[in-house]
Amino acid sequence: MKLNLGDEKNACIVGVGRSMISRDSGKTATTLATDACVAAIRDAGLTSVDIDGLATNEMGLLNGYQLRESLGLSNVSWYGQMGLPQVTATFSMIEAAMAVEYGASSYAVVVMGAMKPRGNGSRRDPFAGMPRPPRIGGEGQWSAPFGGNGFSFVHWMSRYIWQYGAPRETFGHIALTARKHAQDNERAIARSPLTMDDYLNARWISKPFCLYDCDYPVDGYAAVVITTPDRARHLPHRPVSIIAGSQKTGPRTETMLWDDMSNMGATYCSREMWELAEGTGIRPEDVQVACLYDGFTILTVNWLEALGFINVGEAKDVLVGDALQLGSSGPGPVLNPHGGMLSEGRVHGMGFVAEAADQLMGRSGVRQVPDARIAVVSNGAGVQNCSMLLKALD
Amino acid sequence: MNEYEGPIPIPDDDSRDFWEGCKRHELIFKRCDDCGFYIHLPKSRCPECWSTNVGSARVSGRGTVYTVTIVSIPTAPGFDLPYNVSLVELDEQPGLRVMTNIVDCAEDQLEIGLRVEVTFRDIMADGRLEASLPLFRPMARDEE
Ligand SMILES: [Zn+2]
Repeated sequence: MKLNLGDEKNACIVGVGRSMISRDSGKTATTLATDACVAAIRDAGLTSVDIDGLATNEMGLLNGYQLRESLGLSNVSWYGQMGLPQVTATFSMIEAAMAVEYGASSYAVVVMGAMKPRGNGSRRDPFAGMPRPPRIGGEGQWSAPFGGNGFSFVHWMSRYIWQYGAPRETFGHIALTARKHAQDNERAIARSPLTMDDYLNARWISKPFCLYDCDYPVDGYAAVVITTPDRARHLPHRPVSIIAGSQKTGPRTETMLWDDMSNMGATYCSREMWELAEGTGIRPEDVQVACLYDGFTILTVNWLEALGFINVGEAKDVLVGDALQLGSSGPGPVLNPHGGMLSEGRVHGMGFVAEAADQLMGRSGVRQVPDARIAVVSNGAGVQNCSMLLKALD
Repeated sequence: MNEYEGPIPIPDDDSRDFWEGCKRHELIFKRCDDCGFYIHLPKSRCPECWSTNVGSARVSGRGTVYTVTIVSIPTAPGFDLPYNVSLVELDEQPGLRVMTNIVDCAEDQLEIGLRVEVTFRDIMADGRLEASLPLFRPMARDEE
């Protein structure tokens, strides 16, 4: 967890940068991450000698040493190289924020992203070249012999639907909202219009997951620069204060064995995040921008309910019409104004951080959420989950 | 049933009792001798009471479908599409679940809450029993 230390002490986001987002960049992870970091550092009005902290994690296929070399950073004294079970971008953000608040780093860069998976096989036979029969030990021995190592989160959706009677349209609304917002995001990988009929008629991936329940794999990285509020006030942009954050691993590492699989780790870290923010008086209804993880649509539904934007089990009643969409007159925050990983592309958790920061800096152009002052960012699912509360300083 | 070409489990020191039991067509879990907790995934120390008096116990093989998905894209080698992947919760203890496939069941009958019982699929290699996989089938009505 990261405590709320007050506006005078909470670390602030002061710069945002992104690499290109594409289906096949032809570049290495290190090159794209370097692009994102350079853009973020320049955006903050800083240079390489200012940066003394660097955080990334193994999920982003990045090695902190290589990245430092690639960026030519000669003054780095604090590294955050995160690993399992916490591999979310928001977790790296929280660690870096605490390093800045404690004085371990003056200006820290946090970078994360993803490369589209590339196997040896073809789409028709993705396992071409693997030895037959494959032999699998470790955790895989409990799932692979049943063909079950692909989509563990689908079991949560299956259970949620059974528990709360949610129709497919509830999840379709998440996919349609992402696509609608992505139409105003020139970086987004998927911008063509999507209708509920398209969603309902899409091919099954792993029922109840259809194609549009799954995020869009891309090559892409994003980065931000974090510093103290006193330094932030001398930099070009409106500082975005990191008020509080929580990461919780839930009751068990093995999510298939959780007591209640209709909920998820979001429940635990959301509760703690709001407890940490109690002194600020900020409540869910004060949030204008919600950048919530959407690796699969069920996860966004889980986050919306866990964070208190929707009562648990009531997403089916709320996620209709233009709910949570830019321009809606209904209650609730705008959900993923950039299109999320479903439509902007799977820049893992960092895309949500970058969008929330841009929105609170007030520079999101045609998709700017009016009067955006408070944002929630959440990443991950199951054991790997993390949420944080952001606020635009005056 | 076609010949199985999917992944074969590699037992380790914690899982050997389970997979050896399957070869005898017995469903066996590690169980704490002190507090009675069934330990799955198997571990050598009870996570409930930290006892190291961990033995093995055979269960009835009866349970309930906890979740189910119908897989339509290849995510594991050796499976003909589509196929189901289910979690079955065993009767012996809440939360004691295994991932498995439900067999001998029409798709429109396969749903959460279905009562099932274990059945084993032997995997032969070079004329000997390589492994046996615990699958589940709908329970006969008079056994419910
Ligand atoms: Zn015990």
